[in-house]
Order: sequence, then C-alpha cells, then structure tokens
Amino acid sequence: MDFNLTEEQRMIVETTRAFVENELYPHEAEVERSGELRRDLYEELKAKAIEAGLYAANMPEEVGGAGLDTQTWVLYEKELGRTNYALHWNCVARPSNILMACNEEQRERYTLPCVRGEKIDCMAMTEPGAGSDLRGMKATATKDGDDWVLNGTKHFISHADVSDFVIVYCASGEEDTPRGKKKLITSFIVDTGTPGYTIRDGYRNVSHRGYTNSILEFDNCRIPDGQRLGGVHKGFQVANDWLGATRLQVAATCLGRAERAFDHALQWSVDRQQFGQQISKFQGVSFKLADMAMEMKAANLLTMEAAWKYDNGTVTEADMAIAKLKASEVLAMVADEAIQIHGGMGVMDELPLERIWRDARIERIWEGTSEIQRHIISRELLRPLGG
Amino acid sequence: MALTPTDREVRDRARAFTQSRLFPHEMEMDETGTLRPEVVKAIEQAVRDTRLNGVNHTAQVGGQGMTMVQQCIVNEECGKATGELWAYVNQPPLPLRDAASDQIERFLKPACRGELHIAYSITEANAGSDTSAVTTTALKDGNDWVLNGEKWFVSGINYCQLVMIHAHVDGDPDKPAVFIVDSDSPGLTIGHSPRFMMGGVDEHPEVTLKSVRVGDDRLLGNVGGGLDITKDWFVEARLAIASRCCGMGVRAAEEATSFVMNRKQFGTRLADFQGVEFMLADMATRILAAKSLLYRIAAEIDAGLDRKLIHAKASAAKLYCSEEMGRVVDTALQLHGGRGVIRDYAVERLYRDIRVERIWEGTSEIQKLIIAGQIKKRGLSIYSELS
Repeated sequence: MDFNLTEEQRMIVETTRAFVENELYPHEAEVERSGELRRDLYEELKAKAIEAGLYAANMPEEVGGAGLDTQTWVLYEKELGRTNYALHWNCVARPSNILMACNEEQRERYTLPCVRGEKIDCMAMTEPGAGSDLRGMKATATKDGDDWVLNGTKHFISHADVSDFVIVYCASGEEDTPRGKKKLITSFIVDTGTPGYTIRDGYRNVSHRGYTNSILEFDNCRIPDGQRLGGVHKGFQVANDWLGATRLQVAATCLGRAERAFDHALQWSVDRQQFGQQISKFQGVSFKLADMAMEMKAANLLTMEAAWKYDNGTVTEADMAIAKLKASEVLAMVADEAIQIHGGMGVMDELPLERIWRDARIERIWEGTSEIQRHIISRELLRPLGG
Repeated sequence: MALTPTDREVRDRARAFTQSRLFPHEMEMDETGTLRPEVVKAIEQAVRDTRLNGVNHTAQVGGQGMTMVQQCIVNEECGKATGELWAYVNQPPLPLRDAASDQIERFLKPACRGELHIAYSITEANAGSDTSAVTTTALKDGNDWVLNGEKWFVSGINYCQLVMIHAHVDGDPDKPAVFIVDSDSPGLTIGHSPRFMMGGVDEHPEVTLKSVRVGDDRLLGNVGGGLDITKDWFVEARLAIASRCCGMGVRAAEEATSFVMNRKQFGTRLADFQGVEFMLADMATRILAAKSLLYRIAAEIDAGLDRKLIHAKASAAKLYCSEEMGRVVDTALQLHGGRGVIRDYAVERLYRDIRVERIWEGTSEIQKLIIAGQIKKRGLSIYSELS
C-alpha cells in the first residue's frame, strides 16, 4: 500500500484545481442565477480546457485522451467536482467511455470528434416507467430491411439539448428467464436532427442549475444498421464492458464538493464570533467539524480503494456501489452541517453552500438511488451463500 | 387529547383555504419569485373571508380569539403551502397584545384586519440569538427617540408598513427596548437583499437606521422590557415554525405514500419493497411523535402553562419538529426517485423550503442551548414529567 500521490498525479491535481478555481469559479454565480450557460462563455471555457489539456482527459491515449488510470482519473474528477455541473461537465467534457465500443468507422465519426471537442455525446437509458429497472424499458427497436426503426420516450437525459448525438438503449426483443419474460436490449447512435428524433425541454430541478436534462421522443425514427453500437441484443454487454466506473465518477465529484463546503465551514468557524468568542471554540461546532472530517476521510479512502482495485482488475460492483453510496451521503451530511455552522448566511446564494446543498440532493438519486446501491451491495454479499 | 368539534371545523376551514387559495399559486411563486398584485389582493381577501386573519390575537382587538391548539392547526395547514405562501395569512406580532391602548387602536387592530403588515427585526451582523450583542441604539431626545444601527435579515419588510426594532437604549445591553417604526421613516433605508435558497413571499434585506426619529408613543412597553417582548416573539415564532414543519412533513409524506402505492419497478409496487415500507414507517412515526409533542405543548399553554415554561418548551417543539420533519421531507423526496428533484413536484419545493426552519428564529443548536439551560435551572422534570 502506498497512499502517496505520484509526481504526475500531484501535477494533474494542481493543474485541474487551478483551472477550476481560476477559470470556472468566477462564472458560478452567473450560471446559478440565470440558470443557463451562455454559448459564448461555453465556447471560451471549452477552448481554455482543451488548451490546458484537461478536456476529455478521461479517454484513452489511442483516441487522443490523456489515458489516465482510474486512480488519477478519480483525483481529476474530484477537482472538477468542486464547481457546478453546468461549468465542469459542459466545458471540460468527459465523453462517455462507451464510445470505445465504436467500430472503426464509428470511431472516426463519433469517438475522435468527441475527444477533440468537436462533438458532444449523451446517453439515454431511463424512461418514465423504467429507472434502474432497465429491463422493464418500453422503447423499442424493430429491424426493417437494413434499417432499424426506433419508438419510445426517454427522460432525465443529461445535456441532450447541446449534444450532437445520443447513445440510446432500446428493447429489440424478449427472452424467457426464470423470472419471466425480460427485454433484450440493443444500443444505437442517433444523430441530433435525424427525422423522428425530437428533443424536448426536461424538468426544472432542485440541483445543477444550468445543466439541462431533456425528454427524448423517438417516433418511427429510422436509422441504418451502421448506427448500431455493439451486437444485436448485446446492449447490456456493451454497457457492462465499456461504460466504465461511472459510480466512481459520481463519488469523486461528491468528494470534491464536500471538501469545498468543509473548507468554508472551517474558515467561518474561526472568523465568526458569537457570545464573545470564535464559534469554533464551542463544542457544538468543533464536534461537527470533527465528524465532517472523519466522514470525508472514510469516503475518500473507500473511493480511492475502489479505484485502485479497478486498476488492478479486482473491483466488484459492490465496491463501486459502496463508494458511490458513502460519498453521496457524506456530501449531503457535510453540505448540511456546513450550512448549519454558517447559520443564516448558509442559505444565501452569496456563498456556494446553498447550491452545494441543493446539488448534493440529486447525487443520492442518479446513477442508481442509495437504495439501489444497497441492493447491489447486499446482492453481492448474499449470492455466494445462495441468498 | 382530542380535537373538539370547533378545532375540527378550524382545521377543515384552514385546509380548504390552503388547498383552494394557496396551492394554485405555488408554481407562479416558484417560477417568478413573486405573485401578481391582483393575486395577492384576492388571497388577502380570502384570508379575511375565511376568518384566518389575526388568528393569534383576541376577538377584542379584531383577531380570531383562537386557542393555541387552534393556532397550531391553522399554521400546520397553511404551512403545507410552498414558497412561504402562508405568510399571506397575516399574524401581527404577538407582543403587540401588551401594547398601550392607543397603539392597539393604531397598529394592532388594523393589522388584525389585514390593513397593516408588521415586520420584526432583531438580527444584526454580529447579533442573532445573542441579543445582548445588538448594537442598534436608541437615544432619548426631548420627547422623541433617535435610532441608529444596522439590521440583517429583516423578513417581510418589503411589504410591511411597520417594523418592530429591537434596540439598546443608550447602547446599554441592560436597557433593551422595542420600537414600532414606519418602514418609510426618513433615515430608514432598505439595503442589500440577499437571495435565499427557498425564495418566497418575504425578502430578508439589510436595513440601515440613520438617526431615525420616532415619538415616545412608538416605544412598546418600557425601557428594559425589550428582552421579554422579544422572547414572546421568539416563542410565538418558534411554535409557528414547529406547526408549519408538521404541515410540510405531512404533505410530503402524503405525496410520497401515494407515489409509491402507484409506481411499479421490477414488476412490484414500490410500496411492497421492504426498504420502502421501512421508510414509510419512519415517516409516519416521526410525524406522530412531532405532532404529539407540538399539540401537547399547545394544550398545556391553553391550560395556563407558566410563561417561562412556555419559552422552555417552545424551544423543544421548534427543535424537534424542524429536525424530524426535515428528515421526513428528505425521505419523501427519496421515495420519489428522479421525480423528487423536479421543481413541479411539491416534495422538491418542500425540500428547499424546510432547510431554513432549522436555522431561523434560533438555530437547532441555540434551541439545545436554551433547553440545556432550562434543565440546569429548573430541572429535567419540566421536560420529562407529564403535567
């Protein structure tokens, strides 16, 4: 075991943090208040991110990314996670690793342009009636000659409105399983603007102002077979093989934000005087700080260990579920206590705390709710015992 | 304890009013941050028509002469509305009941009729629950008083014609006094209005008093009596918060229960997963406990509880109801999954609204200090024994 960062890791952490603090923090208030990321600002920041070598750094070197190992990638995500989603996810995009499932011809059209910042990807699985229960999805893909015809509705699709294409999962058939009929899934790449594919505005949200979600409608949307990603009925396999450690990404961004909220609370507790002394002198406050630090440390170690196991090929679904569950709940706790330590100042938008608190809420829901994570963890514990 | 037929009539009336007159305007408030003047006028008229104006004052001064139990019922029902729409159900500050008779005629009676709105201002940059640190001063000049100071978070002054100012005569913390000041007095300026997470009817701006001159007829009670007056205000505000929190918790739990009874995942109704059943049970038990605590204290107050014990117990009610109902709202949001973070859903708005209830009118930590102080002064039995 070695808990030290390598020289390269330290450099990436420093570069990323400097970029986030100098280039992204200054625009947080505007994005939060207007609820949107101006196109010209987006272009300007994206160009800077590319220049700084931070754009699409998650992707392998063979397609032009930085080829970070999982541990280094988690450190980088943690730094990006300190700011709001609209800024870090749009301007410093991390294209989905699933683009590595593209065949050679698709790679030219989709993977490489995404890494270069010329195209934006998004991914659509969730439906109004099917969340984590993916095999309950209703959207269909029907083969018609050399084409596929897609029908159905997807919702909660992040940044689809600014994307150039969507990787969409549809039911292409059914199979009998011991637990009844289940859908077979195939994934496809659909370009924005394809007839029959409509992107509608999604929902206003407690979290992530300026980072949009959309509702996608597929109405007899016809695409050639060349738009299929992976094998027929192999959509799940594509996702499992190529999606990567998305739950560690959530965990890492949560930890970055928790750290930022904590830093504010720590500073405030020594700056603020009440009843004639620094509030940090009151045990009611200092014990909160101790608990916050302890919980953050635990979540950090869980996440870094899962990343280490990922790099060593020994990670399990439960390892990543544990990291996501713990980190998202720790962020919620730390953000909440940071506000409490600030009192009335904590709920005003002049500090980033009320935003971090609101943004924290979705982290316990997306990429599988906390309850789904517990399901994954317990299933892995119980299966070997026939439970 | 049981509700009397009159109590039940009050509840049904307040509930019908909230559902028909407040709920329909929640989205307008959330989306625009305000309501159109004609809508406000109609709500205020409906408050009078439904006899919900001045519920905290006696019939002699134009109030509704309600018991404390009935006041809590009204606040619980109206508190279910998001965006602070309950603020339109005007309740002139309680301490005005002890005002001089001419003050009652000029201020309290019109306020009970809904013709005057009155804010209450204590907090400063370095003084909140620590009222002894207030630096706003009142100096006698002939028959007048001259006020100087800076107040923070003066809730509702944006639509109040009067504001009650907690100040120290001659700058002496042993001479606290409360003055009734016109919001448009020369020398009174409304400054920076910070944006709060919850938004809503009230703004909470900073207010500067620069040689604001008021007559002796604007002093409420006497010099030195200001702390007791402000304590009465805190007690009333804390019981109102406890009541509203119960309303928020009940509404969130109702929405969540109905959601999980109807939503299916993995072929099963959500309400039939044990993880969900436990959450339902936790919410219901918390609501039962919080309402039992609140209404027991209210009934004790109606039975003539000593003023000092009311202060002691109001803190427990505010602490418990805001903390526990905060948890209920969080659980209710979680049960909604992705829909829980959409702003069209009441749970999302309740989630943002309820956070401040653990902060204003004394943070949870301040309530604990008061409770611990009362235990040391009067013994645990004031909390542990049924009276």
